[in-house]
Amino acid sequence: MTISILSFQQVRFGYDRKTPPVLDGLDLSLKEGRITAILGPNGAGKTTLLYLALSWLKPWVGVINLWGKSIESYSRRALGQQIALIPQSEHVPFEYTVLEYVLLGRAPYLPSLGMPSQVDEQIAYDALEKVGVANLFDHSMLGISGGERQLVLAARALAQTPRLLLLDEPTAHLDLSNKYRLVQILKGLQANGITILMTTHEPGLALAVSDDAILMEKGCVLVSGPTTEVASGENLSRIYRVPVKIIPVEGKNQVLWM
Amino acid sequence: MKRFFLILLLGVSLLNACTPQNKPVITLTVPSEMDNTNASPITLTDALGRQVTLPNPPRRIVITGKALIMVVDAVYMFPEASDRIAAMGNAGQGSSNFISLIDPDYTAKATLQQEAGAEQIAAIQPDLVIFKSYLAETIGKSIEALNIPVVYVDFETPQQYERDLAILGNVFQNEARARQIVAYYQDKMAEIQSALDGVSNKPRVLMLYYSDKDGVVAFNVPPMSWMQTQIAQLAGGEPVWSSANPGNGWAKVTLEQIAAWDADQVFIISYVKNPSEVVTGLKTDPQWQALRAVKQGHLYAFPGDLYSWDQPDARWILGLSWLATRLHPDRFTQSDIVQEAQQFYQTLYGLDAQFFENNIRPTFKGDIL
Amino acid sequence: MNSAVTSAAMQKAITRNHIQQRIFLWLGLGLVVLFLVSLLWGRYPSVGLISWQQLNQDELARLLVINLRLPRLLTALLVGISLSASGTVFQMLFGNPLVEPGFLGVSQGAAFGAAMCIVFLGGSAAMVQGTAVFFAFCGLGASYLLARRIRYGGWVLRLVLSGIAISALFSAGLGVLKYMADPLRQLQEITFWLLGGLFSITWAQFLSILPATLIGLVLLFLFRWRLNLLALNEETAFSMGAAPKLERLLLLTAAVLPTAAVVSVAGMIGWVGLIMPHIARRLFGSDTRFTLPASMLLGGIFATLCDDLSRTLLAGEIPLGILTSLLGAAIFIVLMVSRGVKVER
Repeated sequence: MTISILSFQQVRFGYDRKTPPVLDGLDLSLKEGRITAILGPNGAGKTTLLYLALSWLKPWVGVINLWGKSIESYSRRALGQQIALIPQSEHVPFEYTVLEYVLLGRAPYLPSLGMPSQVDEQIAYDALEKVGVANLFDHSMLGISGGERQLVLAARALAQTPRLLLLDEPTAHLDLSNKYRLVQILKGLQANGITILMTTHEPGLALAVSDDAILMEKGCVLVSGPTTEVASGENLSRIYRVPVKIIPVEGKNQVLWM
Repeated sequence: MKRFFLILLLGVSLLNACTPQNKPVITLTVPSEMDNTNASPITLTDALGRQVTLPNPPRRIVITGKALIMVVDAVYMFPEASDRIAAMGNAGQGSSNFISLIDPDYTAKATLQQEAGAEQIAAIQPDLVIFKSYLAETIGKSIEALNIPVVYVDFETPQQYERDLAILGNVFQNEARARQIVAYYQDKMAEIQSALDGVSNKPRVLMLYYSDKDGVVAFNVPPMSWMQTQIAQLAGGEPVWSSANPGNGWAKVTLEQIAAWDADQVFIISYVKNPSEVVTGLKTDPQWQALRAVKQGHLYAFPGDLYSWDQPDARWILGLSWLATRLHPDRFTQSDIVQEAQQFYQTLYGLDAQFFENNIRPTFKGDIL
Repeated sequence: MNSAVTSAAMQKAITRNHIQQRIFLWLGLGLVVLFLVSLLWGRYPSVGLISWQQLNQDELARLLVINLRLPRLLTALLVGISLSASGTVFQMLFGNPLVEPGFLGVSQGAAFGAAMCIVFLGGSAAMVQGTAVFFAFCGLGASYLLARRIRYGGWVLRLVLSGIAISALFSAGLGVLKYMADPLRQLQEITFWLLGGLFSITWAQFLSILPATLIGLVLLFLFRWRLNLLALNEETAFSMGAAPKLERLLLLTAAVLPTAAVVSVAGMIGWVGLIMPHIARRLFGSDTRFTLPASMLLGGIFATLCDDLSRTLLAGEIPLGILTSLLGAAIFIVLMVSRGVKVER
């Protein structure tokens, strides 16, 4: 039986009390070791969901549980050691080297006034290797391409050695080859027992890599379950309001939209 | 034989050439206390109420800071001062310098910059530094930290003159001289007060400081606490500008305000440009011609010699005298301001009539007569 | 895992560490030597170094060195260290390499507060520092809040613009105080605020700012690696175990405290907080684990040097702020022109 890592029960959240909530009556349950994709149009509340999972935002109503315990019961450090977020993009104001940047991911394991040690540097370096950009370790963050930078952000998240990895629109700035690389990485991580939750507005990515899918519409879950069942042409057409067809090609489902 | 006399003559003329010219003939008798080499310590209380102990009578005095003329002109009223001053800042105002006139060694002494630092002052190895009290918190503190005695004075108001002259009397161990000087001021003031006794009408007085820095002409009024205002009051006038200056420095006023005040008598003070020139210019200005005081012929250039007589420099007493004669001419029919000025220089600086005629009188500015 | 590549990479990193340590050592050594030489350098008895014999024989010279030069140099050190450290912190926390305490209304607020205290409240040392700190925070807060509301340009530009506006407001306030204050008494001091200067520093003043500056600087030093984390956006910093709002506020406080204390005794001294972090970054990269201590050392050296010049170049005192502006702006131009500052929009 797969354990529920992360569960939302009837979660309601909004940014502003005067406007309707962004998420309402949200239920979801993540299974351990599975890759789950959240699909939905822009503005459906996908990023908000991730921030709630991170415990950066607190729900107005409802309960969020992590490994069966309320997420509120975890300390910030413990959360940082269990969950990591790879953001969609990040503004880097200064010329850090890649290794220095990834090293920041070791923060949850250091006391507030602690400094990273040789061991931490090694872990950071290993994370870069897992992502395949170890050769860039002493390059400046401002001197690498956007795709490479995205991979560095992934490495930083991996330096946190999380059990649950959150990704926010991971392929938004990636070209085809980097997209492919990312998919391989995610599959490799899954093989190592890491649970993955990602938001995407690319149904094709979900079909390519995720086991489960959650389709969202206007802050609620429309339908959730195994990707092959849930990400049907009918459902996708509904949430994207665009005719979508799913066509199997060489055994794999591909998304067709006109 | 001839050669011997020739050489003697040459030698004597050389000696004559070496003695400084124009040396003022000091007619003052100096009390024997000055030659007292008794090294007993001097204790005094300065303007800030500090008890200062000078182990020996000071022989290397340094005077520096802004607005030096007030302090230095008071110090030089003591005949022994000249020999005991080791260094000072620029003791003049504008292009005039009274001290350079009466002290032949002035150039050798006036070596300090206005912003001289503590180290610069220390390098002179003074045994006393005299500062105006506003410097207490800044450079005064630094000099005190070097265990160099510091005496603070003010010399801003008539009361302070009395007090600070006594302090200088202690410094030079010549209290008698200090009393003499204070008496001069007090007697003069008493004279004016008694002449004004029972006066009922006080003319409305406006004193304006004219400045044209950077080509911009401005008229300013002084704060109520300053000497200019006090002179106006002591001379039996009513200053009109009491509401215009909330601050502690010169405050600009517009011509509109000047007209609104409608003073009986208007006095123009100028430190750099000759005030008479300024007044002549104003009398041709139609806007000024419209003022009642100007129409009635009561627009005056405040007088001065080397320095204007309105400020808290030693000459304020002359300014007061003069102003009283302008405000209440009926009470001062016998006054002769030139005579008074000559008496001033004689009493306070031991300068004889000859010196006065040659050096002071030619510098007269403003509507003295 | 290619261990050969790993060890080669690690070698590179270790060598770099060694070079950095060496530079640190030289900087530290340089500072100590400069300090000692500065103690002996001055205008007494004439321009130049005091000899050891003179110190032994002349009591005035000894007093001069111990009572005037020593507290003054120590304060100059604190000025340099505090302003550079807070410059580094502001640049990191605001993600903007073009800010310093003087650009964000912190120095002007402190100067305004201190001046106001002197004019209206009498001005004991503790009260002056207190009002300085209070208004320094006001300046910072106002700059930040205003920047958030400006609807023009990127974050870098907005913060600089609002900082300029708030600084101008406080400077104008200072001007009003100037008008109302006695031109002979307090005005002297207000001119000093605008241009900065250490000519009246005594032991009492140095000791009075020591607590505030030490607390702030020690805190900043301890947090020097964490500062990197707090330069990231809040969600990301939080996801790595930080409490971003709280920690940022703590670091800002730790940066403003020494700055305000130093401004309250030395007036406004600009450019130090802008330039030193840049130079530190050139030498050590962007990791504040190194750039924070480095900019502190560099700031100490720069301020001591400028103060030496200010008291010995001419017979009169040149205000310290004039020298730091002169040299700082010159260095700034060189930095900008030579390689340019890589800033992401």
